[in-house]
Amino acid sequence: MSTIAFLAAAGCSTDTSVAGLTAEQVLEKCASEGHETFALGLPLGEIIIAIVAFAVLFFVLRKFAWPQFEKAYDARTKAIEGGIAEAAQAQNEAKAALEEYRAQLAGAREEAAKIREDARAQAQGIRSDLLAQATAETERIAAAGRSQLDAQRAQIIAELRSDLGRMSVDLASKVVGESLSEEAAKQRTVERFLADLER
Amino acid sequence: MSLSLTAIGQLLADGESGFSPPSVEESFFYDKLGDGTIITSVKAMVLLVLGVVLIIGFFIASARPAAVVPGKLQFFGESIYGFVRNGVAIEVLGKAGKKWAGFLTTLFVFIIVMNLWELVPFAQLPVTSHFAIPAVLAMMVWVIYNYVGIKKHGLWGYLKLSCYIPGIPPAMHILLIPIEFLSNILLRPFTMMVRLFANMFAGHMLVGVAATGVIFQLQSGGAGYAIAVLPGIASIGLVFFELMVCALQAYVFTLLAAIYIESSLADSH
Repeated sequence: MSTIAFLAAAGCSTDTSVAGLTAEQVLEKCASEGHETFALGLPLGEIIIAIVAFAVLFFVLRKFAWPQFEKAYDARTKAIEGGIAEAAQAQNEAKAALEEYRAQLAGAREEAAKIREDARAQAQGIRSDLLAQATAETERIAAAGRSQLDAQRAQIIAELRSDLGRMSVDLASKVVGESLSEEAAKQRTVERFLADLER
Repeated sequence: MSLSLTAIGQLLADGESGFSPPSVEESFFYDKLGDGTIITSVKAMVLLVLGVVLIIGFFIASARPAAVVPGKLQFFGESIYGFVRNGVAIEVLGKAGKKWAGFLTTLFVFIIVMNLWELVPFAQLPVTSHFAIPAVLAMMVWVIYNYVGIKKHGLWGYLKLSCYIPGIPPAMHILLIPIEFLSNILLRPFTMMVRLFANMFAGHMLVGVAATGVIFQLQSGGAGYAIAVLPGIASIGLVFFELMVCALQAYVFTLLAAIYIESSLADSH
């Protein structure tokens, strides 16, 4: 490496006269002449300030910032997980309620069908009962009527028979008791007979 | 390489009409305390402390409610914490990740804020471009991952876990054990600190060169007014590019810290 390149790398001005000097001497000369500062130098003050500043930053943030952020993350995670669990529970409840309603609805339908079936059967029963009853009643009434008629006829026949007998006797006796010679008497007798008849 | 980039830059600058890009001294160490052996930039240290105060203020205000339904501020804070907690800590470390989420988020937020000072108007100086800051962070990660490894497996068990690769021919161990020791125990913090430092350092230089380019062109007048559009566009583009770099480097640093801790806690290589 040439002297110029070395000087440039060390940050010294290249017009410094360095003939016959070692590298250390050149650097010393650079520094003492107050020329350019060595860019890769490590000034003590800067090191101390950097260490202190970084340490302060690290400890302050560790105490005041990061735990708060972690707390917020945790709270958020918990809130989201809680929300999910709650939603799942609500959904399960809703599903259970729906199942229950469905079951109830199916039960109600079944019951309604049964009731309808029962009603139909009952109506059928009532109708056939009434029909049988009515038929029986008709029969009964008809039978009663018939027997009454029979009785009345028998009575009438009996009455007529007895009347006819008596009347025949009456008539005969009258016919026999009256003198038929007299026209007027004959006429009277006939008329009386007829009147008797009409009565 | 016989000439450094700075020397080439100076040659080019001499050849043209006197444009000199801002030097490292002008970009990073313009307000030393004394001769700059203790503090090389007062502004960087002010920004560092201010950044820490702002982060603390923001997160305390954001975390105070701890509400189940967060407000805008709480949501923003929780998103940052949740990003590192779930996307880095638990993703890499598994169940143990929750324990490390606080440390890794602190690391991520600290680095991204210190990076973003590069783009904040009037601040415009990435604190992480001062080598001491990435060095402190990387050494801290180094101490932590070695400590948890030794605590869990014992010194010998930890060294065996880190350096011994099972299932290879015995002769290969002569070669591989030193390599593994070097890469896993010694070099990790250096790659970490240099990666972050170099990205932020170079990014700040790039933005600075583009911005001074605009000013130079405008000052030279004439055709410069037209030419100034080019570094102007580059400046704006670089700011967005740096925005990405700031976020990406903070993420990479945090992710690597998590991966190193995981490798120390793992039960097998």
